[in-house]
Amino acid sequence: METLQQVDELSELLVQPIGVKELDIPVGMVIDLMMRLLFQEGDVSLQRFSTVLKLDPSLLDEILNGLQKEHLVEVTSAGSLGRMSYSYHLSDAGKFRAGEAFDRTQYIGPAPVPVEKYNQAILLQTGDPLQLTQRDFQEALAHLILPEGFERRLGPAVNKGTSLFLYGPPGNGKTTIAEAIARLIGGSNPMWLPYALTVGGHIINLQDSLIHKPIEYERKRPTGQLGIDQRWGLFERPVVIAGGELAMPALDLRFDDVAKFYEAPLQLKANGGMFLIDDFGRQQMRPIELLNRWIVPLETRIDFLRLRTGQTMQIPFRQLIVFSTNLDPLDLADEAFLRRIQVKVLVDGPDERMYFQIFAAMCQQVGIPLDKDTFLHLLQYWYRDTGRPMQSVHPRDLLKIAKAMCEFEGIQPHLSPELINEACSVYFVDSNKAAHWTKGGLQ
Amino acid sequence: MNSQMDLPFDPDSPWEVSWRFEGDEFETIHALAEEISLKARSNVFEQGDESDGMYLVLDGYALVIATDPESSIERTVGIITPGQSFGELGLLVQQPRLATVSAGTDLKVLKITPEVLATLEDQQPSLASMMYKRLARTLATQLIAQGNLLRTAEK
Repeated sequence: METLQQVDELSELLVQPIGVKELDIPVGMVIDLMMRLLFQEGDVSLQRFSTVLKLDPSLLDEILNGLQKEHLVEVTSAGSLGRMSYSYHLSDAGKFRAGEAFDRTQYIGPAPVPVEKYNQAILLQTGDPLQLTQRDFQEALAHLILPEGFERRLGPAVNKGTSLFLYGPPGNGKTTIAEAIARLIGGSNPMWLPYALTVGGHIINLQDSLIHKPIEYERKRPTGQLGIDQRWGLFERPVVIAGGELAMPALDLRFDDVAKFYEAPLQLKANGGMFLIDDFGRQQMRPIELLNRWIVPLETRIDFLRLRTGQTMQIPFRQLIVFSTNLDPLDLADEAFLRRIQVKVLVDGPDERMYFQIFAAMCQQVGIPLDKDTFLHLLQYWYRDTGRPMQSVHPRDLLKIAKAMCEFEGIQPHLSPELINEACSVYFVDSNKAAHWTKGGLQ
Repeated sequence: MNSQMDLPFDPDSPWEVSWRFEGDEFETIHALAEEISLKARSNVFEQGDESDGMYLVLDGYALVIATDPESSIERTVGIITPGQSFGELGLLVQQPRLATVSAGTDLKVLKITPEVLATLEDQQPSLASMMYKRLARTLATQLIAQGNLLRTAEK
């Protein structure tokens, strides 16, 4: 939670500009945006300009007044509410000017915010650790059966918003745990983020509807105070989840040669929230390349992004980076790097006690009565005798298969050693049979 | 069941007693005994602990867990369901617990101590007698089962 001083500073940053003089970006950039919108849509009302550009109507009216005087736009219709209800279209000279605006960039959307303001806002909103309590974690993880006190291993790293390494054998809930953390962070105190940024005359699109979940709020402030700059929205803390498909270009500013504006890299979209790199080690690039990309940001909490013009911009790197992997961490990174990720949590397979607890809970969830002889048979025949490691996901999958088998035969869902044998036979891959099959296939 | 472990008892013949109380028998015992609630995965007692009574499962599942003294590996050798009891030997003889019993799920049990049984003998002798008979019958069944096992082994 921000202090009062931080709230005041943030309020100042978010004051709605209501005149051109108060605008913190070049007015030419706004004119370009208006020209492109007029060219794209033909007739555009003042209200429509305001909705798309997220700027105050009186500011836009001031600009339109100037454009009218320069004969770049013409009024197409006038409503009963004076200038505020006017609609405009481009004059011939205006169409020429719009063509120039399209040459610079094809971006049409909310007016951008200077990157310096964005940096300030991020620092103000991430200065203090999150205040998530042990109880918050217990509730967020309540749907999972985990070792006693597991949340104590996660909590400090999540609140500090630095980095976390979840590792261990597959099928034991690493991704589910990370997703629960994501929901926890997303649901904690929301944050103000701009839709787009500008640096050196370039536009960077930051908004991503899959990542940024808006929160409804009262736009107007109490009487006597200025409204909130609509170029900023109130969002849940962002959560970015990238799996094996993650490629290096997604971590750099991406310039679209046709649209001529930048798309923000994933870590910029995750700022203030969480970035989960799931299945770490299965990406197209080598793990070391991916890790090297994070060394400086993790160390300095600053990320450097390069524009195609060669300019470099600094962005605060304030997010919880979660690496989740079922590969051996020491095969992925050397000790020096692993030291930089201070909290490393092993999500191990269950022991027999935990496995039973999961099995009993899943029986209830799947709707199949627990049978103790079946359970003891499963333990002995399919785990102890074979040396197969138990996974937390097994009970759910096996019980669903068993239930489906009962339904297929038109009998009441039940468990028996014979039925669990059938379920296990189709679920587990028998390495001996697989080897035999491969050999046969080759011959 | 092939346990492949050197257990202090025969896991193929778990000491498993099902109780069927009639009339107000259960209420009588319930009024005298202590009801205990345990969170899943917490131990009711551990192998080697001193015995202090038997436990009747009211709700949930209890796991009977044996630990291999050499490898320290734990194995679930039995599951006690509602209406069944465990730790009966602790009611009859004061010897260390043969296995650990842990709450398999959140568990509610009734702890019946030798003192509770003594009170029953005074106040409800017929109920106490029924309980002794049930324990004796189960013990006899166990002995017969183990005798059969021995004969099979000798052959």
